[in-house]
Amino acid sequence: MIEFQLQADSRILRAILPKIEEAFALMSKHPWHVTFPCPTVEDEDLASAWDDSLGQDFSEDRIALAKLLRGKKLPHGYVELEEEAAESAVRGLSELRLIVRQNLLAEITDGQLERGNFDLEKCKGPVKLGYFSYLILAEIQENLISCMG
Amino acid sequence: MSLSLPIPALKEKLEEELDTSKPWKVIVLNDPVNLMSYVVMVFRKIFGFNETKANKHMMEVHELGKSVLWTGEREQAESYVYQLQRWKLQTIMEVDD
Repeated sequence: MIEFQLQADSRILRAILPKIEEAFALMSKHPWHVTFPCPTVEDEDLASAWDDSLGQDFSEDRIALAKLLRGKKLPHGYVELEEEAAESAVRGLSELRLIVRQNLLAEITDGQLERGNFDLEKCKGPVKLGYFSYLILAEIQENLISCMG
Repeated sequence: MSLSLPIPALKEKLEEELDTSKPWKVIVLNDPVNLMSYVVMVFRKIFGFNETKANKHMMEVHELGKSVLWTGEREQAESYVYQLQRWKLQTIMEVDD
């Protein structure tokens, strides 16, 4: 079992968890075949198999991520996950951060986001929550990567 | 009815893409979301790179917007693109001229 404690204050965590759940709900609706297209479009059979297989892989990653996000101790700042689910959850976290970036942080440019070069105080409430969600998900992902060695 | 493509450049491009004898490049594109540590881990897992080589490619992606990770047969290139996409990295493949 992988276990670690987050640096984030549990009050902030409890405020952003509903936002993370909202973003998680959007994951299955996202048109991933557009972001991750089959490179051989002229072969329709391959393209179809590609989309189906990738879709299946993404679903498995979301299941692992759901286990992590619905952990009983997460609202208190503790992450618990079975070791065999870690790789899938790490991939799922990447997908979830993409969703948060596209849906909650759309008004921040890529450059600003990458460098943290924007005034958070001037952002509206939902953007602030989105940004904290984005950071917390990164912290969870980094910790999982460390635990995986 | 003629089945030939009306635009010579397009025909040439299609012929080039269908040419299986040429090597193909697997190229990872930059994105603002994935963490550096994540990208390094993925490169190491998929290509078996050591830390230094994985870091070098990650920095290329970060600073130049893309990095060629591998060059070779088309089928293997497709397999690598699939694995990288599975790890949510935006990846394309191109004929290596």
